[in-house]
Amino acid sequence: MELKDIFYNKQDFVETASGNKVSRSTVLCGSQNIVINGKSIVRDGVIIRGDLASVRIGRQCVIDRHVTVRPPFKKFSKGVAFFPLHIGDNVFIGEGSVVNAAVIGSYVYIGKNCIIGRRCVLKDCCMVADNTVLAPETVVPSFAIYSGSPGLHTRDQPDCTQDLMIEFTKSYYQHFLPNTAPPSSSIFSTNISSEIASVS
Amino acid sequence: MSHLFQLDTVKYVCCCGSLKPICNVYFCRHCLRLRCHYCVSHEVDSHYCGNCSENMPSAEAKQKRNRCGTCYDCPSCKQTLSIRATTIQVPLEDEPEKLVAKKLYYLACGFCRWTSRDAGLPDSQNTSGPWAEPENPLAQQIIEISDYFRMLAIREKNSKDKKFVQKSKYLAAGRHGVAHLLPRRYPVSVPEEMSKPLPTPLYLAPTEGMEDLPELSDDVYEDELIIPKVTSLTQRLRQLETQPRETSKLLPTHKQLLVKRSLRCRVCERNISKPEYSPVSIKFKIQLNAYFHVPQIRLMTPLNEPLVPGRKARIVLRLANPTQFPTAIRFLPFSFVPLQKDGSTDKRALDAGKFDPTRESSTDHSLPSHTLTPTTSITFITPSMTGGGTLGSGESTQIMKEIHVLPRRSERFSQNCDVIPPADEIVLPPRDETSDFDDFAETPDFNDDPKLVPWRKANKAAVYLDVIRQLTDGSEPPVLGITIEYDYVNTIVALESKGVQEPQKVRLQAHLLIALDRIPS
Repeated sequence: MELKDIFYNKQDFVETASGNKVSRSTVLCGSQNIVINGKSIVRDGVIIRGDLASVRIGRQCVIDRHVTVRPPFKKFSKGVAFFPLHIGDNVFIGEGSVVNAAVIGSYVYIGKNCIIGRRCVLKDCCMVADNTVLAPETVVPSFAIYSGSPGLHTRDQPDCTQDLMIEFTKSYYQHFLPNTAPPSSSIFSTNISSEIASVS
Repeated sequence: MSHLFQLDTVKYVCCCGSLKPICNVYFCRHCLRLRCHYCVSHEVDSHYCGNCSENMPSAEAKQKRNRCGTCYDCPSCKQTLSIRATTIQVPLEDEPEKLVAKKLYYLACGFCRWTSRDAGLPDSQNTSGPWAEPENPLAQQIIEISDYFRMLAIREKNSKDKKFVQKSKYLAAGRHGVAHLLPRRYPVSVPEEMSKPLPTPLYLAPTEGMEDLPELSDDVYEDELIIPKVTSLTQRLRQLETQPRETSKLLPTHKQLLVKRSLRCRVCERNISKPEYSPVSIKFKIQLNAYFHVPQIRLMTPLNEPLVPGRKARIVLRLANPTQFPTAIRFLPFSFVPLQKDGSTDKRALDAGKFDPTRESSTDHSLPSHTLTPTTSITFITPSMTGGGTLGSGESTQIMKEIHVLPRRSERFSQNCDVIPPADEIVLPPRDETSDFDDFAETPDFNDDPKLVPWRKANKAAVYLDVIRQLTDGSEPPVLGITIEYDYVNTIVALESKGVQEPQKVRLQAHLLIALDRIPS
């Protein structure tokens, strides 16, 4: 099934030269420490804590509404240190998730309402299903699907995950449109509905 | 992952009869058939630990019972344990009145707060342990039993070798695996030795029933049961050797290893998926996933209203050509015939009236009269006889082989909608990576009928199809069965014959089942 068009108010979003679309109603603390590499979408209600440590987000990522991205810390004998957080390319983070990971690889899918514990490492092409709680310092290997609370390795991803994720994030970007723009392919999807109506 | 585009609404029918979304099917480009997980052989390429990404040779993995030597799981909730450090003050050996700080380590679970101290394990001076391993009280018995069965296996094998007349090389390889053909590694025992009875191991002593059972001790009745101190069934089974009753006896378990596996077509015995060796790599040396080789069909939009039995409705499919060559797709009524062991007699028609029971194979169809009879036989291929030597030379041999080698799954499905196939083929241009970056690329003009193809972009196109739901009671969800016929350019022929032959273009069929019960939410 094709993704649905998502329309946003043009004045509510900032579009950078590299194609990032960042909502104005996000909390980007320490914005000088936040790097978003391009063609990524950061939707409203997102909190990115760049003031704790640097946050780098790759290309064509989608950070859905009300996600919290927060660099992890480690306790030492002499206090606490924060570590930078790297997110790879073509990553999707679903609504309401809290990400406290150290590294998120590329082509990773994180579902809705997940808690990714402190200093987790999510390898490329893995997936965290909706409503999963990952304990601190969990390593999610490539092509694994973690689900449940506590998050456990329950299934495996198909071999073509990389291309699926590229297609998914790309198509999300293409269907994320300002409400002033003409709808992308749904010009024709509206036509279809009328045609189907006329047939039946 | 098939939830992404709801790929699971469109199921491809594998040649063994199982139904899978496109991302879980493979396409063997030697047999030119779809293969799924059930009809390929899985081979373990390497063992690795998912936590520390360390590779382990298979011999070592076997010795360590497929568990990582350094990583531990929490016995209580199965999360990975992390190592925590504490410092304590210990007196110096020479001067007992002087105290120095010393680091000690213990294991802790970040999820359920279990620590190795809960199990009564003393803190370790090293980060790597050693941590107490659960000792198996039945270890000796298990060794005896496995020795006994190994002996039995050798005997059985030896006696079989004598009786078994090898009919054909192929059958031997297919049924018992190629290992059978390798030179024998076990010494053949002489007949006298064979007839000697094996000494029965100790465990085989027959058990005796007890007449009077000992009385339960008083504390069974008197002691209060504290539920949090009793292990759950899953916790007990995770520590299979000891199966402790009390939580205080739970010990950290070594983390289970993961494997990188390659897949091999069971019919032609060639690799269809081979990942790179490194545990962190996501690349493949050989990747014949159907996603990259078979036209992808998706429902473009959900149906506006539920399908009424007997009425016509229009659906929109989105076609995509993932290959480097143009293809022409034609829609046909559903015509999948499951593999059958014995030719024409026992054909189970999946859908009454749709199948001609005299049909021999899935590529030799006589289609219902209202469609054109297409030439669907695969006119391919005399595959080079080099690989394995067991390959047949024609289509019928291949099918014979599939019947022998593949498991038949024939998953039950009901197909209760018919398509009114459009007369025209839909031509799709090859996949072009650059077109994705060029938003204003001109879409090549194929002189499409806008009544059939309303939209096109690069290698993708949308197609209107009229479907009719059969006049059934309508209790089952509507499922449309459809067969597509498409061009596939077989480059492997050219490769194997070192460029003497041109890449061959063949017409292939794929059978799909599309669930039409998703209506917009």
